[in-house]
Amino acid sequence: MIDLPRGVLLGLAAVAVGSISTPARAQNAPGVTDTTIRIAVADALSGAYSQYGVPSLNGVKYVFDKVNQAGGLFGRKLEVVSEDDGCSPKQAVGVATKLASEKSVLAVLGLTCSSAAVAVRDTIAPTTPIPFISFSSGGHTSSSAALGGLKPNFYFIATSVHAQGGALVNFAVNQLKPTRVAFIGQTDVYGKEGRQGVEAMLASYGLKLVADETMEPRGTDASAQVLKLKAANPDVVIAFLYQVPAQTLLRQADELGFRAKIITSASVTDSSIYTSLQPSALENYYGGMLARDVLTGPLMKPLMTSLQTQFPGVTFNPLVASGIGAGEVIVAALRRVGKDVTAEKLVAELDRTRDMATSALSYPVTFTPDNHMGGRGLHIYEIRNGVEMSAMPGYWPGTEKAAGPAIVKD
Amino acid sequence: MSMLPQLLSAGVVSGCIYALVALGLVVVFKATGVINFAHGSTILIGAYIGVTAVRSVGLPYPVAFAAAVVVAAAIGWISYAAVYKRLLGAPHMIQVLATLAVANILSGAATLTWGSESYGFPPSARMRPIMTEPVVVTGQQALIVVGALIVMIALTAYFRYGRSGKAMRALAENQVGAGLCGIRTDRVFAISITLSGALGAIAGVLYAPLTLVDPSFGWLLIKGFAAAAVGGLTSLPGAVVGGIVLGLCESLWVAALPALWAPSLSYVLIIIVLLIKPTGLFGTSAVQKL
Repeated sequence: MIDLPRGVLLGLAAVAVGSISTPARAQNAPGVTDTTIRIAVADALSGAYSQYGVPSLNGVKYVFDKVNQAGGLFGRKLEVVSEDDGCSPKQAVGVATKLASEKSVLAVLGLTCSSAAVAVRDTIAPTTPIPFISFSSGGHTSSSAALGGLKPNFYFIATSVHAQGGALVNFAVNQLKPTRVAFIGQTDVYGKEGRQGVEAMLASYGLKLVADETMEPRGTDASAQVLKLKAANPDVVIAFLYQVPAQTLLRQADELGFRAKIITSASVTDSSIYTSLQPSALENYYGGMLARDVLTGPLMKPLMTSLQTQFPGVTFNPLVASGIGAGEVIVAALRRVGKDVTAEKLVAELDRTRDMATSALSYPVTFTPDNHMGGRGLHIYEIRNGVEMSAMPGYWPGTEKAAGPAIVKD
Repeated sequence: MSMLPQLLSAGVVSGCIYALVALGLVVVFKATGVINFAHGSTILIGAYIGVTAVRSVGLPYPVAFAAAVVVAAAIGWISYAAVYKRLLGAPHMIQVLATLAVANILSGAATLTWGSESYGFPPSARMRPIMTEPVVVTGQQALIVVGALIVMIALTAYFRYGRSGKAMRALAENQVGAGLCGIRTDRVFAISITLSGALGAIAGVLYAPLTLVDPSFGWLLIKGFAAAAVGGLTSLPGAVVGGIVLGLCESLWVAALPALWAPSLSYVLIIIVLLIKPTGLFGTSAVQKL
């Protein structure tokens, strides 16, 4: 037997313990090794809904790449594992089941489609300690404690549809000074929740809707709705419509001489709507968005230029803000966790996120154990001479009455 | 301005869009007894080609229109040569399932080519009202109505007087008898699918300037099918009447009731028509082949 000095023996023992404890720590922290932290983005990455998922995925990659270029987090590089949930609850649950059971990732971001997010929240999230941050705008009901939606490890980064309604009312009432406000929304839950948000905030101003219309998401005509709105003579119409029906509404309002201000929620995501309409159809139009500025505006342009350089084949839309925001929020939480990272510690630190400004979202993000809806307002833009322009800096809060836009301090 | 005339006008325009879609379904059904579920995908591809030709290539709208029709017709012929030709002797249900498979392949190819973003035609003088009293009508809306009428008349003449049109009708009536008379099943099938592709592009490119083109554009197939079911799957005038009835019902119901009810009420109408006259308003018993 070789006789070794006491110091050497202690050193070897320490190495032995270290070599045993390292795999043990990795087992406790899914997706974490000595050199990497793997985080999944599960979203609609192909097919008809990929405009929701692909920009956000690349937003997350962009944030992680910047962290990695600066040396990573405590010696570990961040890796993105991309999974396609197809905007389908069934597929999303399948993907989340795989990720959770393999223990291959420390967190899951994405799940932009509300139905997919809710399905994963109810089936997989309770079975795993890893946190989920959804980009969906269903947070008002889907993270409501009263409705049983608040889960310890499931978060929503985007402003909920309900809060978007509140934000649009705050903007409209304070900036446009209407006496008569009307609403038009889709015939689905998107329109329904938007209407609830609008009505709740209008009530705080002592106002009621003077007209309430609905549209099919892919209807070919809105003449009847426009004529009924026109007959109600509103100053402002708040619209919760996807891109296609919003375009139909704006076009036909112009054709039929309806000149009320029309404000759309954050679902109008790409500029094809503006480039397909006569300038006169856009004279009375305002839109809400999650991003802190239009993508060509001074606050977003440098970021978008970097993104386009890094991902030249990707068509970006304002939904990229959710990916960047969620990426930055989780990186900040990981920094606070430190080197000994576990899923439980990450969840605890996410719950300590307070008024965190991100480089893309218009609002600061706050998560607490009782509030997992991080989004709280909308930035407002308008179209001037066919070009999207920020109507004013800041965001209009949607969860409380506000006399003006709030500015996020960088 | 009274609401009713404008609603009637809007209903006719929507109805003509549905009718144009229905005509493409009727052409294939008249000739083959098969409901072509790939029709929605050819409408989608026709619209994509039209909007790309105008916006990206800078072609005038009529040239883009013609290009879309030619390409969609070619896609129809290729899908015949690659798929349907091999299933000529198969039961109708297999042929219908094949159209579903082709629909998925074409839609997938369209998404790979154009992505999932929305595309819009640039604003033009056609989108401006050409009359404002007693109703507002834009140039594009007038074009849709005129286009539906021209297509219906041309197809009626083709089926009544054209050699291959008559062959299609004969084949639909009695496949064995038509074969004994020397009518080639494969040729008739090829012509009908190719013609249907062209009609799909006509519908897509006429409607697309009023909206945005994205992967859900092919959803028009459902409305076209509803129009054809009301009018009769074997009747060209029936497709047009069915489309206009559907468009008017939607327009008037939205005026009277919340839009939430409109789609349901339209389909209630279809069910009522089919219960009273299962072949549709103008259809013949060929519908029994399904």
